This record gives sequence, structure tokens and C-alpha cells, in this order.
Amino acid sequence: MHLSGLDFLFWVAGFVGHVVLLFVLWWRKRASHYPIFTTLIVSDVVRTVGLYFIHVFGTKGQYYYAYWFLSIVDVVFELGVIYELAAHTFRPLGVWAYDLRGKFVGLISLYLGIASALTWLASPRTRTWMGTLVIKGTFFSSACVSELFVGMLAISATAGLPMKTHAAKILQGLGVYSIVELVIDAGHGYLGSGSNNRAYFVLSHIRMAVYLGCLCYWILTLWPDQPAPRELTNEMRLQLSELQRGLQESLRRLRSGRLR
Amino acid sequence: MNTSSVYFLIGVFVLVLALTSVAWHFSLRARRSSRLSWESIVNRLVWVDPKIVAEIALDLVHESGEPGKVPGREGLDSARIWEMIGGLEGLKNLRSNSQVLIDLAAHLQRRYPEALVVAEELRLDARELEWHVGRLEGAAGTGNLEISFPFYAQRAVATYYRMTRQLLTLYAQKNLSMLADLEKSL
Repeated sequence: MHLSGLDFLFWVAGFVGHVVLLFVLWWRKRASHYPIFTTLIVSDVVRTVGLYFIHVFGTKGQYYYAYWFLSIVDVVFELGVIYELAAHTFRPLGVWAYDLRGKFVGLISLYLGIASALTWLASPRTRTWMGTLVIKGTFFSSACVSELFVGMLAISATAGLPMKTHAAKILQGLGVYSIVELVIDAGHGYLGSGSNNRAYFVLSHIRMAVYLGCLCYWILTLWPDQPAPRELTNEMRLQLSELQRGLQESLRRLRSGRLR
Repeated sequence: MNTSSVYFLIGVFVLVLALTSVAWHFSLRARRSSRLSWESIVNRLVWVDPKIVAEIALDLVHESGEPGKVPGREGLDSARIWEMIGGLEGLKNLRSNSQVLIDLAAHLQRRYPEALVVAEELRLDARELEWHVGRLEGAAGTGNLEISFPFYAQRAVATYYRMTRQLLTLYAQKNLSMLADLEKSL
């Protein structure tokens, strides 16, 4: 596979970006709070280095299989990051908020249905069934990740469970990238992956450029600390206590049918 | 271009448009919510006439506490209750109040980690109450309000009434400077 100067530039920039982000996660002690996200970034570093050596010393076939195997690993970690962010947001007391379980199951079913339907409709122009499988698989994962990102954002806002600052930043970066990736994978799904398909490579470069932008965003936003927590005033504490007592009593009567 | 490709492109376009719109809407909403102060959230509580609400609440309840017509009382029919509560607009006000409580809980979670337990309980309670009003709004939308009202309305209305009055009382006791503003909204 021929790689241009621009490809190598993206390769080096991606490697440097991941290393800097890893440094930020470690130095600012974010890694312990977001271990799956940190693992995703570590895997990206390993992937970049590994693919480089396979490209230089390995065969075309080895590179092909390594590339797609590592892409699958990447998608698994991305889904893991979404789980991690959801756990940070929707388990405020250590267990999943019970009012959201049904919503989650419903949304995931809906997302899988939409992603499956679109993937089934895609008919990329490829020369092998393997190429078709790879393009369809990539599109399916992009659709799932971008839908999950938007679903999390919507549930968080409607349920009144605010995301912590760093979790929100990770999700925003991943979300923007996944939506762009969805568009680009749709382009791949339509255009196919012929070796002389210039549009395929242009789209790939756009995707890499957007990802580099996300890396920069994460580096800049994960470096500062989250806003310092405030202490409740005695007045607010009392108000909350009274309000909570009133609500509990109202609900108890509501459930039992007693209004007075 | 075959038919399947056309459907694929249209589907992707619609999906991306929907995802971008939803993400944009909820990002803005989350950002706005994160900037609100405690006072500004409380001030969003909508006024609900306590006398009317109390009348509705007590109308269809036996002394035993079980729902149903109270012996000796004339009783209000669904149309009258619908009118008294202010129709769909009145129900929307109740739903809006439950959203205020959810926002209060979110504000606490965001700014005061020590209040996490209280905030989560408050959020869950407010969500449950919002659910009751949601059932009523849904019934109104499908024209089944008359059937659903006896099951949901009085309880939900009375609960909302008590919640807002509780808040007003708290401010009356603890923060006189804000009471005038609150009384206008409740």
C-alpha cells in the first residue's frame, strides 16, 4: 500500500497527540477516574507504533489484517468509554438510576435497529466480500457510537443528571468525532474502497484531521481542574431537608392513594 | 446509482441531521442549565391556585384515603376539573414545576457534591411526579383525559400543590428578602 507524505504527517501528528494526551491524563491524575478512556488512548499509541513497524517490516496482508483487527479493538474501547462516561453520570449513588434503565434499553434497541437498517442498505463498490464486510462493519460501529453519544447527552439533560466537567469534555470530543466519522464512513459505504478511488483517501484524510482536532480539544480541556465544589449553606441544607421530607410524604400518599 | 444506495444516502442524511439537531439542542440546554443560580431556578416555579387545587384534590377522595366520590359531596365532573385546572396549559404548568425541581437537583449535584444523596432523591421524586403529569398530558393528547383524570389528576395536582407550598413556606421561614418574588410565582 502506497502512503503519501500527508499520510505520514497524520501518522506522526496522531502519535505525538496521543502521547501528549497520555501525559496529561497521567500528570493531572485523570487516568484513575477514566481508566477505559486512558486505555483507549494507550491502545491508539500501540496501534500507531505497531502499524508503522508492520508497514515497514511486514507484508501487505499482515498490515491489512492488523489494521482491521486493531480497528475492531478501537471500536470496543470506544463503546467502553461510553459505558464509563454513562457510569460516571447515571450512577450518582453507585447504582444505576432506576428511572433510566428502561429508557436505556429502549434507546439501545432503537439505535441498533437504525444502524442495522442503514448498514443493510449500504452497497459499497468493493472488489472482495472482505472489503464490503469491513466497510459495512465500520459504518455500523460509527452509527452506534454517534447515536449513543447523542442519546447520553439527551438523557443526561432530561433526567437532570449533569455530567462532570471532564466527562462532558471527553463525550463532546468523542461525539463530534463519531458524527463526522459517520458521515465519512457513509461516504466510504457509497464510494467503496478501490485503490484508485481518490475520494476514499480524501475522506480518510478529513477524518484524521478531525480526530487530531479532537485530540487537541481533549489535551486543552482535560488539563485544567474541574470547578471547585462549594459548601452548602446551613439555610440551603435546611431547605433541602424540608423539601425532601415534603416530597417523600407526598409520594407516600400518592402511591397509597391517600391525599390527606 | 441503484435504489438501495439512494435510500442509504437519504437515511444517513436524515440520521446525521437528527443527531446533530438533538446534540445541539441538548448541549445548549445543558450549558444554560449549568449557568443558572439557585435563586433563578426557584423563581421559575409557576403559580398554581392553591384553593382550586385543594378543591380538586379533596373532591374525589374518601375519608379512608381511597380514590372515589366522597359520600355527601356533589362532586366535580372531569370537564369541570379540566376547566378549573386551566386545561392543558394548567397541566403544562405542573409539568414545568417538576422540571424546576429536577433542575434544582442538577444544580445541587453540580455545585455541591456533599448534597449528592439528597439531590438524587429529590431528582427521583420529581421525576416520578413528572411521570404522573406526563400520563395526563398523554391522555389529553389522545382524547382519553376523561377516563384518566380520576386515576391521576387529583393526586398529581395535590402533590404539586404541596411541593410548591412547601417551598414557599421554607422561603417565608428562612429568606424573607426573596419571599415577595416567590409569592408572585407561586
